Amino acid sequence: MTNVIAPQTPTSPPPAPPGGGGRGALARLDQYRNVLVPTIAVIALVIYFQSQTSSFVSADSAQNILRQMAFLTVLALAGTFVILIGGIDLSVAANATLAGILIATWIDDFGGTLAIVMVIAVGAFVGLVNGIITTWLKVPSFLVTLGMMSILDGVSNSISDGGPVSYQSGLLQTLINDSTIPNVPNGALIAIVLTAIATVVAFATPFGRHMYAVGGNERAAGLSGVRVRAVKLAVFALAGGVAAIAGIIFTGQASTGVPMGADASLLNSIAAIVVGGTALSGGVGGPHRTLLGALVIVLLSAGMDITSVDPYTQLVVKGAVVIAAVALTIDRRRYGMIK
Amino acid sequence: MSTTSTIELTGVSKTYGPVHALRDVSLEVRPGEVLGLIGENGAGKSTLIGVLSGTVRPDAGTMQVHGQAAPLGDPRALSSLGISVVVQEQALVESLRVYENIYLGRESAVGGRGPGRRRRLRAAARKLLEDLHITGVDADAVVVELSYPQRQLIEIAKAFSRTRTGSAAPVILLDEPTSALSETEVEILFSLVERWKDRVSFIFVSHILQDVLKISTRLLVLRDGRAIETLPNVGVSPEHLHELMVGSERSADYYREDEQGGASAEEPVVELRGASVTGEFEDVDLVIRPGEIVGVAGVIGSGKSTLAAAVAGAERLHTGELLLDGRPRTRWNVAKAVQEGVLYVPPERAHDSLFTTTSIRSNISIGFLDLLQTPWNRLIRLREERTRSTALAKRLQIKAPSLSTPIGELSGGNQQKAVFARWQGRRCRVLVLNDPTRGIDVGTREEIYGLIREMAADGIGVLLCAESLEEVIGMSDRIIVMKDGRVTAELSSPTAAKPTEVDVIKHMM
Repeated sequence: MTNVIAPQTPTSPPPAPPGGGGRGALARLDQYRNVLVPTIAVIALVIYFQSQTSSFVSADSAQNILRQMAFLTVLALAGTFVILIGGIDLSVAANATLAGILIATWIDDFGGTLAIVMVIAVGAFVGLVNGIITTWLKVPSFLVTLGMMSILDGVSNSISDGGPVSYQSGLLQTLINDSTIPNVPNGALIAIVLTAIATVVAFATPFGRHMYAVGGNERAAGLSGVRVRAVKLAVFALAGGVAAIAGIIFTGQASTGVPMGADASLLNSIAAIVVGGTALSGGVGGPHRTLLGALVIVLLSAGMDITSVDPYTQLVVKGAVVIAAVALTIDRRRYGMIK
Repeated sequence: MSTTSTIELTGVSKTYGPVHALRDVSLEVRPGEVLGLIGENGAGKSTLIGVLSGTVRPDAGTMQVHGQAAPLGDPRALSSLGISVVVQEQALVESLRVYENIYLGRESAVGGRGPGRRRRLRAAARKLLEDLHITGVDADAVVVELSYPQRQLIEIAKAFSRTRTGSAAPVILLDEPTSALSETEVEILFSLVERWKDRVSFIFVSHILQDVLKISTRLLVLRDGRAIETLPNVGVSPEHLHELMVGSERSADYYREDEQGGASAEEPVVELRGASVTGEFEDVDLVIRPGEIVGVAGVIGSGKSTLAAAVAGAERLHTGELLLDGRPRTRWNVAKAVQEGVLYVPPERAHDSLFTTTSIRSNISIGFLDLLQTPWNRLIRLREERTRSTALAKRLQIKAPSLSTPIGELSGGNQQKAVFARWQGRRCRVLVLNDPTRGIDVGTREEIYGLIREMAADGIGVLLCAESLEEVIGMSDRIIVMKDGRVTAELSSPTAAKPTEVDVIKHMM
């Protein structure tokens, strides 16, 4: 048979990659740049702010940063799953606000553990509704969750009558603000443990892999035996549940249920996800990166607070950093579609 | 007939990664000629058309149009030199009218400025259609209301309109124009080509040999990216062309016909009874036995592709039933099919099978993640994942820098091998192949045929639905022929007595 396929010229060597002989150390580093960029950003930020005020690296400010990071990381984790499957959940922050109000309302009546379970269940239910509308009615997740955001804001404001909700229980104080490890508030511990679990789920379970598959190519995922709808529903429900945990952390830190409290953090959470290197087009990235992204965002605002940059300038800088980070992180050659 | 050629391509080469799509191809078209371009899938036909129309920029080579050097890789410039393409996927805007489509983007050049342009364009279009003897299509009709062949005629008229102002003869590339046409529609198209051919040079590309033989004045055979031979179309037999296309007489070796074993058991694994999918196929009975390769032949639109998808669970049956091991299965879907070992290789690789930005490894292991879980905590054993995917990649000889390479960077053949590797990782009882060698080079194709034979020898039932008749005939033990959604014939195709293409085609048309 060789007479059919034998090439008439000797096999030529594979063509060199465009751009010449760049398969060196630099090229290898390039593969990891979506992890490297945020890591370098974190280090650079610490060095810069330390050089501006010698008090930046201190137990106090570390605690402050960890506290802020705890909430933002968990909120961003919730969003990460949905973005990984190629959707977006704009209702995570409103969902967290609702959870924060509910926990403050229920914790004294139902007792701590039951209240927490109920609140997480409500969050997951909200997520499931998002998922059902997205997968069964085929409404884009952007619109579904945009609407849901407004619905949840309405619901939580009517529950709280538009004012703060106070509670007596000391459980949240212990769970969120006390430190089992010195100088590390439990809330931050929760965030780190959740990130670790989420990372294991993402990389070492069929469900996690199926998330990437659905985000990468939904049609191909279905044709290789992935139950696409089930994965999507589970992801939205999971996002809702995790958003509720973020809400509980928020209320624990504020010591009251605050109306619209977590809503302001929606854009920060999306920024954290994207700065971490999870692509909005889906299928690329992961929970571990979101932790890094959240760290960048929190360090940046904490640092600017300490160096007393005025709040309006802070907004400008933050926006610029998000754009720059994404520009540096995304390997555009691989993603044809830029939305 | 003038002596200068309309188009002359010299020494054109194009590589995509490791794949040589074209190697040193030269061709020439003279006025009044219909050059038939033939070759198997992956022989380089579409790349060559791309070069001629400017959508593909070759790595080497030159092109002359009417004796003057033409810019390569510049579709606009080439189209203004009088080269137009009529492709299978039509480029008409459905919501616009015929005359609007014909002069799209050139409204002011043709119709002038100011009021009354619409009227002038309409008149120009009417005149054009009349000139070309295209009757039965009104210049004012909205394209969406036209039939497929009518649209094809409009495309051709559009191609003509581009060059009417210039003096030189235009070139029209017809890329697979007949594959979706009925016999009478083909006749109409051919009579038009005949009528116009002294004013226009045609390049005609098709995998339907009879059509090429019927209309061409000269033939160019491509194989594996090379121009194998050009010959005048006088007394050429299809057999001879086959020989040139494949490289030898349709070789029994190529499809390993001597290894063809037939069914290893009488009891079918998968069976369809009275199965229909509305608008696709109707009342189909189909049996796949262990170790048997069942081919499905039919033209595009015969429902054969949907039939394969339905067996694999990718398409739900509207009536009738699917039986697995003699038991009816309701709510059959891909996930269930995979669990039962009915595994699917879909037709459009990039669309249907690949996660292009993801590593080769993940693209392979997605097929058997559930088998990699530890029993106690249900986590995937990552080391096991590595070793298994590496072993599979090695067995199927996937050529790649490393298994971490995104699969999108591989050649089509290697990508398809990875799709096969995906399913090699788990128990397989029935393999459903939907055009498995589309756009794949000859060498890899042979490897895939070998693999299919091996799997069949292991007692796996294979459903092979393919565009290439030769492939269906060469590989199958039995051939189901479909036409307009119905099974029109079932032919047995044993090693010693393979049906000819004509035997099969007569049930397709």
